[in-house]
Amino acid sequence: MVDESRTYKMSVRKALLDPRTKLLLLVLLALFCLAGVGGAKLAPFRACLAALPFVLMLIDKRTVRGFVLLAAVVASEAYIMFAFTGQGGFLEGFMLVTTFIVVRLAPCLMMGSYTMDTTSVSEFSAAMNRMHVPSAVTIPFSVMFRFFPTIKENAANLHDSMVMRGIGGANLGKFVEYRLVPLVEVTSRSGDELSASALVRGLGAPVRRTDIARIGFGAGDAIVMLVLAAALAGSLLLPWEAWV
Amino acid sequence: MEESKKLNGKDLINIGIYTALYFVCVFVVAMLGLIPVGLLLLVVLVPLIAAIPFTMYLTKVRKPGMLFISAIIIGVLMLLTGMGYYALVLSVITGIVAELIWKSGDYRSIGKIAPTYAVFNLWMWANYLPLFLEHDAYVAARPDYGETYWQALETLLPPWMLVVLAIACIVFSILGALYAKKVLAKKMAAAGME
Amino acid sequence: MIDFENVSFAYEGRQVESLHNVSLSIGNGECVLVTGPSGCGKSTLLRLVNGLIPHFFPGNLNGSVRVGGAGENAVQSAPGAAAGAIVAEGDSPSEDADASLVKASSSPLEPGAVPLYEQAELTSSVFQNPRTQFYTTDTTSELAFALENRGTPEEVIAYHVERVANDMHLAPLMDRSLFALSGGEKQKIACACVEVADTDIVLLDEPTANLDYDASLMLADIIRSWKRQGKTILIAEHRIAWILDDITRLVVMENGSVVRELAGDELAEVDDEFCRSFGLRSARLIAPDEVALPAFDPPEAAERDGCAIENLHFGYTKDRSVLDFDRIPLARGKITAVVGRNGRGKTTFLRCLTGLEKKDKSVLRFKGEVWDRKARIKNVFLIAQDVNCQLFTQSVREEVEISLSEGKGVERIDEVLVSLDLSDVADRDPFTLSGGQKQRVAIACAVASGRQIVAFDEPTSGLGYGHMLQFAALLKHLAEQGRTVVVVTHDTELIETAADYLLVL
Repeated sequence: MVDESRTYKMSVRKALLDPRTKLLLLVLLALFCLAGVGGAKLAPFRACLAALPFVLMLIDKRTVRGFVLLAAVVASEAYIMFAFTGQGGFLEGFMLVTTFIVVRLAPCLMMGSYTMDTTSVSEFSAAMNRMHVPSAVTIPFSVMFRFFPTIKENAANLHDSMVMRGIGGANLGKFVEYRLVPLVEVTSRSGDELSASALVRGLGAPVRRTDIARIGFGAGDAIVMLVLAAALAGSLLLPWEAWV
Repeated sequence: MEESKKLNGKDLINIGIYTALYFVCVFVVAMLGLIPVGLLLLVVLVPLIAAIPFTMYLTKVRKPGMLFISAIIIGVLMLLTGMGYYALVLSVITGIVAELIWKSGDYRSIGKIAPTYAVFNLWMWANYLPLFLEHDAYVAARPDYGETYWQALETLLPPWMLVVLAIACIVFSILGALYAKKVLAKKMAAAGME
Repeated sequence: MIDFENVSFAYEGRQVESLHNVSLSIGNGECVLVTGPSGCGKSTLLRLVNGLIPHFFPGNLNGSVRVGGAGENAVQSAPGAAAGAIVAEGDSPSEDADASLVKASSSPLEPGAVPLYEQAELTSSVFQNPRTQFYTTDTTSELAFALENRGTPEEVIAYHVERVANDMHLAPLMDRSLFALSGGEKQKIACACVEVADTDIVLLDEPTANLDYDASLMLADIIRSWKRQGKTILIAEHRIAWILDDITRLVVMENGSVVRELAGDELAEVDDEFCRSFGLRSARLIAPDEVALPAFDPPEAAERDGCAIENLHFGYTKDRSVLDFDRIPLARGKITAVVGRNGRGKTTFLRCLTGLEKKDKSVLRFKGEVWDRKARIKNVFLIAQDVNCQLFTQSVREEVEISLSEGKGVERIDEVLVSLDLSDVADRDPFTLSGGQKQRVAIACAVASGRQIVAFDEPTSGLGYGHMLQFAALLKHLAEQGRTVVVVTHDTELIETAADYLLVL
């Protein structure tokens, strides 16, 4: 039995990292790990950066996905280093492309998955607000996230009706039509109702919107920055090549 | 009442909803894309499927800025999900061009659907850039992989493939738009498109 | 507080006026229920007050609507919102003849003349569909939404959200995903949003259409507390019984005009006879499971070619079953109403009956055949509450055609369309039809499919008396054709009118 008389107090707990820090990490990962900026000299910094999303996942108790991605990276690295022979053939070509994509994209994807998992829509729009992103972008952005679950619900309902009515679609064209056209119609209808309800509650007033989402830079952000700065300085300044 | 050209709350919400519907199509295909060969199919499958929500979106786009904002949002999403900033940069350009094409048809020309859609879809192509370009920087970053590895990769993913992928994206977008036009003829007429 | 003076309105692109010369004056602290058949203009009336007309629904408006008290401080309640900031100022785009009249009297404002966000500081609205009126994804953000839009400082918002959460005993619902809440809980959150916005006027547009009996009573409770706070309340609804004791005035509309107004002692006159004469829903408040109808309990011998669900033990978690029945007999060729209090698994029952619940192990015996889950998918037709999620094609004819049972020719399509009075719309896009027509299209599909069992989920939510009677006649028609009809509903009147048996879960 739930205790209805319990007093409610709004949570003041902040997430480990500010959404803006996560954005910065995503850009850094894209620059250094995806595009390989900085060449061989920055290898330790790059390794540090690539490991960061995994560490973050561990800290935030999202271990399963973290380990799956890590295992994929380790396996791919191992394949490239030890199993790759260069003889060619379909299988090797397939493995080559697969492992290449995994190694190259995994750190970024891991950070992406961490960001999406640990940032609520309201935190993210609060962050965009503070970065002075205009509301013409932040409003559609939060509406989009509000609608992903609705689209999923609608799709599930439509799917059930389709199964129940035994409509498979005589051909592929009809199949796509029956799946998508009603989904767009139903979702768009929900959207009209949402618009009405949001507008009568003052959405779009020409005042600076406030935001109750608790964001702001804290100790977590500082530690991440310090670690990265130290790794960057170390890679550039220390003669680490000699130690390997 | 004379409708103003400025985007109002309803327009912004429509942008959100239709971008979500479009992105769901991308997402469903991207799930297949985890199998790396599927990644190459992104430019084939997404333009075919997403044509229906996009065309239905166009029936609602009557003001400047909506397509541009959708493009930007997709770019930001790519950044957020870890696909890098390439799509965001490209989507700024494709968003503006798609806007201009759609505007040139006075926001209701059926003939402009295909070109608008084809240009809008090109952001997808940016996702391939890191796989084909900047190899040199990446090679330098990972010398331990060995010479044969890079050579083998070069033959499997040659830079000219990028051109093929861009063309594929455009061709399949046009096919998708033609299909959507056929399926949605009734709805487009109801929305006053000609 | 709210004044309509000779108001007429026609929605853009429509010839017929939705409101015709309506004059109505609602005083401070009144609780007014506007009722009447579908399309009588009651929702239009509300939209004129919250400003959705003309800002969201454009059209041709004549006459004047004034909202807000004369001389009273209309927005004193909301901290952070500049009190008195709402005046119909000169930049009004309205070109109506009486706009000058509004400008002359400075205090009340004309919703058409100010932007929606200004109107939002004076009126709050609760809408019909709990699923679609949320802007955010979690309860706490939703409560804060209206104040965030006003630019209220964070600490003040937090204070109000906590105050309302505690006043309304919402602690168990706070910080939760809105998608995980039941319809009643969502509507409670929508009311809490009104409470946080703390406006003097509250508008409710068919708030119980998607609520069951218990949730409607909960809503009535909340409305009573608003009344105590002195808010002015305007409700547009088909159903009247749930709130009849608490209103100060009943306004009956027909075809865009007010045909009857009852206030004070006159409200006691509202009985079923009165309701019938105006085509209104019943004034008696009866729980659906208290309707005097027998349960179907056939002698064992007569059961051999009957219909029964057996071995229905189903739950979403291992240790708790929602449904726990060894055998439920269903009357073949009759109409059975399925009722049950909140959380008794009415919808789950339907999903199991129709074979949509994959883990369900029950079987259905029908005329000596035994249908497992997969067989039921092919033999039971379900018409869902949201008919929109059930139509796939872009023409009514095609919709019926793809449902046709094997071996039936196209001439059957016309037969079915004629029998459901759909011939005129055969080539229309089902999505452009009215709710009632859509429902008939879905029934046409059920008939065309030739299936022997047809199940409905809350088919009359939001239907007025006339449409409910039409629907009841359709149900009887289906049963006369020998079909077994199962209706999950909380509509007491529908049960009384149409059902043969009652099944209480």
